[in-house]
Amino acid sequence: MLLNRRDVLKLFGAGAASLALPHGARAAAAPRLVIVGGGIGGAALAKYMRILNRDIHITVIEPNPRFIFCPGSNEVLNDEVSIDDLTVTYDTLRHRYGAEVIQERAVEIDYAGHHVLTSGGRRVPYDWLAVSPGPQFIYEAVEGYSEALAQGDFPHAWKAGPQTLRLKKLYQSMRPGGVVVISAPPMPYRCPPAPYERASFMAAWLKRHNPTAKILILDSKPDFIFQANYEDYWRDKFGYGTDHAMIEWVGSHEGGTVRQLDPAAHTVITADGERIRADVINIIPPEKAGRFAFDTGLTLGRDWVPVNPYDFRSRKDPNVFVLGDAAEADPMVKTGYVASNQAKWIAQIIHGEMTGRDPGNPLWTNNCVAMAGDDYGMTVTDTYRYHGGKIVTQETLIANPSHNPHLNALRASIARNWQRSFRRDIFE
Amino acid sequence: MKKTLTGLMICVLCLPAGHAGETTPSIREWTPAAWYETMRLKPAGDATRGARLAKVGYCYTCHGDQGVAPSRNAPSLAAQNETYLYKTLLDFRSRLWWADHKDDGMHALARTFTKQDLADLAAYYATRKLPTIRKVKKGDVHTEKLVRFGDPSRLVTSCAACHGAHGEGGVNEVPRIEGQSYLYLKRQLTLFKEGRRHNDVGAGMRFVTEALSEDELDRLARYYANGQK
Ligand SMILES: Cc1cc2nc3c(=O)[nH]c(=O)nc-3n(C[C@H](O)[C@H](O)[C@H](O)COP(=O)(O)OP(=O)(O)OC[C@H]3O[C@@H](n4cnc5c(N)ncnc54)[C@H](O)[C@@H]3O)c2cc1C
Ligand code: HEC
Ligand code: HEC
Repeated sequence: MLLNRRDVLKLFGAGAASLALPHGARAAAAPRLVIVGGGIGGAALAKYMRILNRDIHITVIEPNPRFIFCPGSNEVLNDEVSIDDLTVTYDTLRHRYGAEVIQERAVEIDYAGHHVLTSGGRRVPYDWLAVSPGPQFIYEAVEGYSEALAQGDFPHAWKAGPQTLRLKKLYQSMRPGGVVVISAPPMPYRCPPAPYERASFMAAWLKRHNPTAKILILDSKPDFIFQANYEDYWRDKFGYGTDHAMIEWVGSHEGGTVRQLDPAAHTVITADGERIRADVINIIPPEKAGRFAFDTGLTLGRDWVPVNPYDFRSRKDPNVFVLGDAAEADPMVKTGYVASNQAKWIAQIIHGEMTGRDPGNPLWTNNCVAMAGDDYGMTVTDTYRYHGGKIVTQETLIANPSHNPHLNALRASIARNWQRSFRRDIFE
Repeated sequence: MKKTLTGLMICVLCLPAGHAGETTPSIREWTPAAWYETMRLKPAGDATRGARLAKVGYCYTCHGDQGVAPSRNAPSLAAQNETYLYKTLLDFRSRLWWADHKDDGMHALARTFTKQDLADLAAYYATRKLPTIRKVKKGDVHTEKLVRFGDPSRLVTSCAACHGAHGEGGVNEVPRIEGQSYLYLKRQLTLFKEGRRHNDVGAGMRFVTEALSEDELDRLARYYANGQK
């Protein structure tokens, strides 16, 4: 059921009279926003909802006591950044933004009764529910690969944390002249330039410590974002395209798609049936919406959650918003920046519903950065509009490949600044 | 035996690789001797070449056209002391000047230039003109005294003794301070006082600011900003 204006006024109870009550008493009657997932989308929503509205009761359900940012996690592989630098707690959300954070997993939605059920057996009531569980990995897409292997000697490291450190250890302790295979997934997946950034950072380290090592990128796509920029840089630094190349890239049109993993033989098998043995195998599996979205029927038989493109209400139930990587929001890309922009917009929608104010026409932006090295950065900005019942890309501004070393270096410092200020925007 | 050999092999491969890579610049503070030697070896700057480098180096995006800062986010470079410009660029390049993340852009850029380039950039900006700012009201008596006479009881030399009667800059690397924004000047004085900016030769500015209170630094920044926020 959607709240209309009158319901909202009722929710505020005796209206003016309640303003005189102490905050705690008023909070009991306040409308409730419950957020499943305290990642980038969920945390941004909690913060910006509070900034817009001081009365709403906000609850975040998130099983982990800390969040580790993925943006910046490739730099961990190159010793530039530590996992600690990327780790935040929920203290600021709790204390500065007055959100209740329940450290449990959400397991079910009672749509009719407006409750979320948690792993600890709680029933958390909501007026609006927002779901931002991120993606899950489709291990089955690569025969022989599994979550257990990912947690062992074949980390995907596509969620920053122990796997990132494991991958770092594996490739840094490789024998001289060893080979790293990175299997890049098909679209859509979170942060499209990140596999190539990862390869570049590893190469920079290997060039210094294991100069005869090789990195082979086996791609399930025929091309990738910033391809010309990366190839320029690789030619310049890593002999790309020559017999002594440290980085090689094989697109899907040349048989790059990885179909199978033989863990015992440390070998991947490509679509062409070619067997490639490697010292370190980093398979980044294809993705679909997080498990919670499937378990609760939000996906309606699809891989990602269908949403109303204007306000991100799920097709399944308009009182349930879905945002972040889990939402099917083409042509938006799956980045943290987009997740945070969706969150800011959903806060306006809810605030609008509470106050009877029309939130107007949304302008969403994606503002993404990538690096090829500490002297080479890239930036892309997309703006999106709601038009004719759809989300449309309004404009894309992308850093063209440049041979100006000053500009490339300046872009790298912009990329670093982006990461720092983005973390602060979401969690401070 | 075989194992030991493999171990050795690894080391042999590793050593030259470690050297081939970037070496972390040594960020030792300036001793007067090291600085005088650097000044003596400074290449002569070519302002015409510097103008071109300022363009391809994107300096104008933060420091403004002709080095006149368009905002308070970065200092003006126009009419700045040439030796000082050269020195601070070296300090960004070596990361000796690394107060906080505001310096990231300067670190990234300075590394992409040679010493000759830096000298050319310095020559270019030193010869640009700063617009004349209308003089606003004088400072209070106490600030005026610090500027002109210092405070011998606290061993504080007057600012004017080094920076010139109007803050226009002095000998060697002593910079122009008149004409910058209040925000920039206050930031630098605070950074020196806290020791987070420590690229000053012989800790000169750190010594001066250490003795002064935050309030005094605030007034001095306003005094030299001359009405500019
Ligand atoms: C290597 C790498 C680099 C990246 N770099 C960038 C970048 O530079 N810029 C950028 O914009 N993006 C980047 N991204 C992408 C970015 O991390 C994601 O797009 C972003 O995190 C999506 O936000 P989200 O809220 O959808 O999911 P997440 O941030 O993943 O958050 C999901 C949260 O939901 C929680 N959760 C899941 N299920 C449940 C449940 N049942 N109950 C309760 N909680 C649950 C999880 O624990 C998690 O905390 C990068 C990603 C990777 C892998
Ligand atoms: C991204 C913005 C940015 C760009 C581009 C930039 N600078 Fe800077 N620059 C700054 C900031 C900010 C400071 C002040 C740093 C501080 O306060 O710690 C600074 C300081 C300086 C200083 C020291 C000035 C003083 O008074 O101490 C010099 C010299 C300088 N820059 C030269 C350059 C040159 C030359 C270029 C082009 C090659 C350039 N800058 C490009 C932002 C920038
Ligand atoms: C003993 C000489 C001396 C005295 C006295 C002195 N300064 Fe300085 N000052 C310097 C030098 C040299 C530098 C340049 C430091 C460096 O190498 O970066 C400097 C730098 C500065 C800067 C930074 C300028 C910039 O563009 O970043 C400010 C601001 C400043 N001084 C203000 C003052 C004030 C205010 C006083 C008086 C209280 C004062 N100084 C007294 C020598 C002096």
